[in-house]
Amino acid sequence: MAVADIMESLQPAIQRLKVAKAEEVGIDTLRERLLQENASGQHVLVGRSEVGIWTSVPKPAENGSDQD
Amino acid sequence: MTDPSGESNPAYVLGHSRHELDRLRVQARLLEPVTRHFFREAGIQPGMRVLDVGSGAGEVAFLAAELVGANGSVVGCDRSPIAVATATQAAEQRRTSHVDFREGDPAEMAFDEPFDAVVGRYVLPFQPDPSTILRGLARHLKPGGLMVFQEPDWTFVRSFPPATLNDQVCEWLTTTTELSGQSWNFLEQAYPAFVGADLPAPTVQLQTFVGGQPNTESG
Repeated sequence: MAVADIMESLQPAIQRLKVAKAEEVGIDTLRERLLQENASGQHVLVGRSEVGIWTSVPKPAENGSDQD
Repeated sequence: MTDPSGESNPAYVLGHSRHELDRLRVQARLLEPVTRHFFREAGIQPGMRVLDVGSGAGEVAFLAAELVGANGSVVGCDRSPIAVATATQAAEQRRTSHVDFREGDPAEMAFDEPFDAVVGRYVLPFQPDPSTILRGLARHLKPGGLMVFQEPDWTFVRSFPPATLNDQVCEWLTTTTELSGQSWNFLEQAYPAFVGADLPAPTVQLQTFVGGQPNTESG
């Protein structure tokens, strides 16, 4: 599960910033507990969003106009 | 999601552990369709020369390489030597010859030739000032060149009916990233970051993962 993997990478920061205690997170069993919670399939999980941002820099003749 | 500031930035909240690089590879498979969509919408085309910023394990560079084809080329840059070594090894395993990985900060590096496009995924929220790096990167673009980024936003994360543990974990994640100064809620920063770098007003699109089963990106 994505959030369980992110939690593992974030563990040092979570402890350093005192967001949660190690025993609250329970990283060793977190993945399994998340899977169990969602095993029923009754929850609709709205996850993170991806933001796409793009533009093109002007060509000299365009005098800085936006090409989008 | 490897930070271009790499190991020179000890505050980088996700670190550069082997676990994190492995996680990036798994994440890349889930994000690939979204990134592909954004790149195509933005205008990444065959034959282009592309600079990938914060190339991490190399997955975004490999996607760009596929889109630009054999007549194009991709240069991936990362300030983490571990990331560059990992991506270079992956390129060798893929036998991809038109992708090259270099160690350094591309906003400050010099390149022999300008690029048709600068791309990056999960880069800008980890910068102290996203507009500063965008301004530095824009120097490498040909006239008419593309600046394309994909960044996260957790503003709309929720569950119906509430999945208590999932919601708690997401709250821990967002609180940690906010406190670290590397917020993952980039939507509200996206437009001002580009305009603040004196770039033309960007197109901004949002895609949200929604799932109801374990092992989905949403959970």
